[in-house]
Amino acid sequence: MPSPYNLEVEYNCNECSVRAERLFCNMNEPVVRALDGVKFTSLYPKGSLLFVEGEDPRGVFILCSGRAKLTTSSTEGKTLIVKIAEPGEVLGASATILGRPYEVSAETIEPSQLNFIKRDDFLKFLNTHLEACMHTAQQLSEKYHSAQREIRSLGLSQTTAEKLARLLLDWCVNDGEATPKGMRLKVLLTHEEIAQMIGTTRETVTRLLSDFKRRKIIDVKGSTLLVTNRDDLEAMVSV
Amino acid sequence: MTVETQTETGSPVISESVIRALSRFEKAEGWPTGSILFREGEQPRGVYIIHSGEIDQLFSSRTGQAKPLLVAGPGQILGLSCVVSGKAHNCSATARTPSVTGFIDRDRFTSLLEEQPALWWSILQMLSTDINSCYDCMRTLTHMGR
Repeated sequence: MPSPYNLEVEYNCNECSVRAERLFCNMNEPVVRALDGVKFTSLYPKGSLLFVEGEDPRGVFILCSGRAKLTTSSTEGKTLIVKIAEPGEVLGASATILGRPYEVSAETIEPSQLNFIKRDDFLKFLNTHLEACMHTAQQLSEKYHSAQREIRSLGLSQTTAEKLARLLLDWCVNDGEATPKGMRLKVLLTHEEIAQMIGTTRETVTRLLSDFKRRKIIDVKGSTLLVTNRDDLEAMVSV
Repeated sequence: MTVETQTETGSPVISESVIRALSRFEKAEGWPTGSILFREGEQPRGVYIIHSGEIDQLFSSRTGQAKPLLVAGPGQILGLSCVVSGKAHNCSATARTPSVTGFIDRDRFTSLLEEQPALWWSILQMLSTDINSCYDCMRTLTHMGR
């Protein structure tokens, strides 16, 4: 029977075929059984808001499949995407642990499977299983390092073109598919969202992408972006 | 393991027992302004508990330009995420003002965690606070102060 959004849904964490590859989920069977006992599995379409910046923490979401953007907003409504969360990440952990409002909002950008754990249950789970604490600490360390990389890019890039080049190079490393014509990227973000990732405007992103295309650094067809001259992108980046 | 309580302002409290547990094994070190605690790319030797002063966290570009983009102060622990993850330092740390830190060697810190699992909860709180500081920094860098 087809599943909603064509997702391969896994309700039982112990039977999950990719558990061993996931930083948080790769725990011993008894701990994963305990995790199974407190989590609620849900499927979300693209564009679902999981939690909102400033909201009291209800709990954590384990992203089993799909992706989600983590954003923060200014009082004037300007939005910055601080991270695109990938499968295996635990969302909302720092707010849940500290008992403070969520620092960011989380919204799915693809149909996604998420396992939700209520705050009290998550804290009890950590309190009972040392291994879960260690894996959460590793996950938080990873998030901290990722945030530091963003800070480096935002703080040291001299121009917006450099920030965009850096972003495209990161995508090449993380999600690129090597082809004879160059590195192929499936871009699921709009120009507006790309702008929100590098702290600029939608107009600037559109102009820069056109410029990169004119200089034959990239080629764009629909949501597929082909990096045809990676060396030129590398040359733009000083960070 | 006991989940720590929090202050009324919401800031995490590290219990006296945790502070005692760490201070028994730390080596106090004084850092004059400008001295380097660790360099970007180095493997973590241990953690630095800041007792006084301010420590700049500097990020370098490929051209050698280095900017202090984060500042750590008393009560914070530098190098924690690197020790937990085993990854190299993402930035360099230099004393912005005369500072005093308590250094705990990586192996000693790891054995402390094995001996006293309650420390893990404090580590989760500190890492969570560090992540929030990064988000604040990102908001500042993109002129999005709240």
